[in-house]
Amino acid sequence: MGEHTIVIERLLDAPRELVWQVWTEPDEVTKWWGPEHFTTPREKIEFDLRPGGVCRLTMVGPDGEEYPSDGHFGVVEPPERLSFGEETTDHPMIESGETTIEFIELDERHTRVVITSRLVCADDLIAMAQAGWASQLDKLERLLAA
Amino acid sequence: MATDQLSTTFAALADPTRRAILARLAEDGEVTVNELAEPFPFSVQAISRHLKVLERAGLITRGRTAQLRPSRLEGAALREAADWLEQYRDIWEGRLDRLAHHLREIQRKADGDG
Repeated sequence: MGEHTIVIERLLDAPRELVWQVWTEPDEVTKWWGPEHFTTPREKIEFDLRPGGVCRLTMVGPDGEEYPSDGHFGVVEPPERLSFGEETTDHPMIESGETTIEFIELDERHTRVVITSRLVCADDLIAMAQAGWASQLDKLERLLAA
Repeated sequence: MATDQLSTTFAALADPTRRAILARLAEDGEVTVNELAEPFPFSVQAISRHLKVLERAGLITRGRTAQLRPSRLEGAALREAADWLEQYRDIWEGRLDRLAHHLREIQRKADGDG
């Protein structure tokens, strides 16, 4: 298994308590989770907000196709830190992942969120990806030599 | 690459036998279907079916003239799929855009009420 870590940061114009609430309450999550043209229906969100509790939701695509994600909460420290692991993910190249979100209070109206995702995917997929690059570079070399 | 082409590529990559075939092609360059079938407990027909899936996904090309139609790896489709980490990042950026929008909305409503 190969592991990758990505970090994403965002400054939000809202107090930290509110960001936490919107992130952890299913009634709020249904209003923003999921890509453009996707929905995350309220009845398909199941959160048991405590360490080891269920963290499950299903996104529905524009064609009605369902993308379930199933996992458990790890760290639940309101309103500062939240983590969840996904045993199945909605991305075909990713086998599992663990995501930690830090909610950093900058002042009364500003919060920075830092998302750290550790993703696991099959080693041979990584090898494939590298082979893809190598093959591409071979072609470029041949083109330049011609 | 169009999204549906990428889905086809992902679907093709989802099978460990097909990934093993691609790994072999990455090592050996051009390989015939008989040579490919050797290390696997499958028939030549089964390998041919896998090759068709890989060809449709744009991951390999096959010789047209020779009767044996040797297969070779096609790097571009694989590279598109390899950008999956960037796609994952895009998913998060999109989520955060909508979160920011939602937070603006509810605070505007709250201010209006107050």
